[in-house]
Amino acid sequence: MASSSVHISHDSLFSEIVLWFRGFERLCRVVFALMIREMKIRYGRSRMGYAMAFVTPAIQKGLLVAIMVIYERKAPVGPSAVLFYWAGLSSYHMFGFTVGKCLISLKYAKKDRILPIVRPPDMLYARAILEGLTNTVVNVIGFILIYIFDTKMALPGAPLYVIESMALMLMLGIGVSFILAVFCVFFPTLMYLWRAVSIVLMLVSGTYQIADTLPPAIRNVLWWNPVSHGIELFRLGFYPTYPDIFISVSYLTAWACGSLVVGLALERVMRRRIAAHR
Amino acid sequence: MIQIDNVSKSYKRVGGGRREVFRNISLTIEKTDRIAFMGPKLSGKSTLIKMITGFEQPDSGSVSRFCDISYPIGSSTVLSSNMTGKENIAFICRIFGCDTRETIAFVEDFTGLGTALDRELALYARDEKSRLAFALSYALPFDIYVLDGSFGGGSPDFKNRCETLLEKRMETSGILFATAYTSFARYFCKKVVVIEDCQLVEYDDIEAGIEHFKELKAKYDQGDAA
Repeated sequence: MASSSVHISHDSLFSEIVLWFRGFERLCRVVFALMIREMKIRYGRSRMGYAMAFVTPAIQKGLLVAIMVIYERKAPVGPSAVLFYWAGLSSYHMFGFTVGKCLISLKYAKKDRILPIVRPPDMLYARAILEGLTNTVVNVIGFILIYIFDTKMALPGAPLYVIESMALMLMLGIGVSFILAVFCVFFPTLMYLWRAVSIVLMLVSGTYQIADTLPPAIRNVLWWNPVSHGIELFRLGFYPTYPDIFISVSYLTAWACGSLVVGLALERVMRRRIAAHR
Repeated sequence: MIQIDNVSKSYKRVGGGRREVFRNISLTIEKTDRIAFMGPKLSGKSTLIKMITGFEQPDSGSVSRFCDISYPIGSSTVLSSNMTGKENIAFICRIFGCDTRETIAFVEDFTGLGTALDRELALYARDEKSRLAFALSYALPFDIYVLDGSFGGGSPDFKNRCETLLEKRMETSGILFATAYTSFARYFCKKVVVIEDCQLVEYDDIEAGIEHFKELKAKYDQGDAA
């Protein structure tokens, strides 16, 4: 009897694992399909197709950089002002654009619930991954252009910092957008509020300054903002002499993981209420 | 297998309060079952279908799906109006993991839409759209096909072809048919589940189930008249 029960538990463990892998395969398939559809729909009528999705953020980023370059002329560190501001914005937008695009995905996922294997978070995953890839492409193209026309420093000396920063910022973006997307279903005004908040957040995250050169009073407050750590970490990859006393990767990681856990749990807890809300 | 376990569901009324649709219902559906869900108007046939396919969440209890179950057959909600017909087919194929080229060939052949499949869906006539929706949902290999109200649309000829196709699919798959027509239940199904007072009553004998449904319908029609 004992041996047979052990056998059964092994068997069920095995089938659990098989089920998990099947579920994962389903998730990948669905998210991929939703990504492709999102690409086709978002700029479907435009003749340029999805290339538009690269142009819009590139212009936005380029304008912000241009304003700062005209206003400040000189970068706080390094030879090129363009590189400094482009790097800061590249990192920030990995977070900011992701939240901006994913914020509404639970609110408008109603139509896709009719497909039995599509779960509400799938739409958010699809948008987040798409946004992450799009931003990566825009960033890389930007750095290549800076490398060609401005300074050779646009090739990061420590690319791992850059990749780490982008990954953590994307993760933080997904976590925060899960939390906000749940609230967005019940308070749609949040969509417009976020646009205002994101601009303020960009200014108070150290996109335009080096955190370590700020007065201590401001710096101590800024330290609590996880986004600023991501931005500083990103620049650390480009400048060998960049001050790194401020940066705490573990703090940023804790925020990224924490927001993801809270966001996923919140979505799961609220799923029935979201479905019933109209 | 689909397991409906102790499910309750109610909707908010516009004027306030709630309208109860289901109270603690349980039902087990096997892969090969052919079940007709019958009930008079507003009895909750569609709500049950929506809960089974996952569109609506129950207030309490759970619905577990252990097999590939279709979305409501012929539903055009799955189609995006600013993609072409072919892109729509490819999207559904990617979601369910089917071969895109085969499915497009099948739909092209079955609907006779031809070059229209390269057009954006917003430019489709209503008949073309419904033909595409039905052909697409029949093209995919599901374990259980779920039908809400109708099995085909458009011209009578197309409806007949849908019927033949559904019969072919029924050889290997189960169907769940929400309907208020006794002829559909007799023709397609082997079991009847009647919805009465927020409860499900199962009948293995089709005629007995239909008899029960007729009583309920008569009562409903009387109430309607009065």
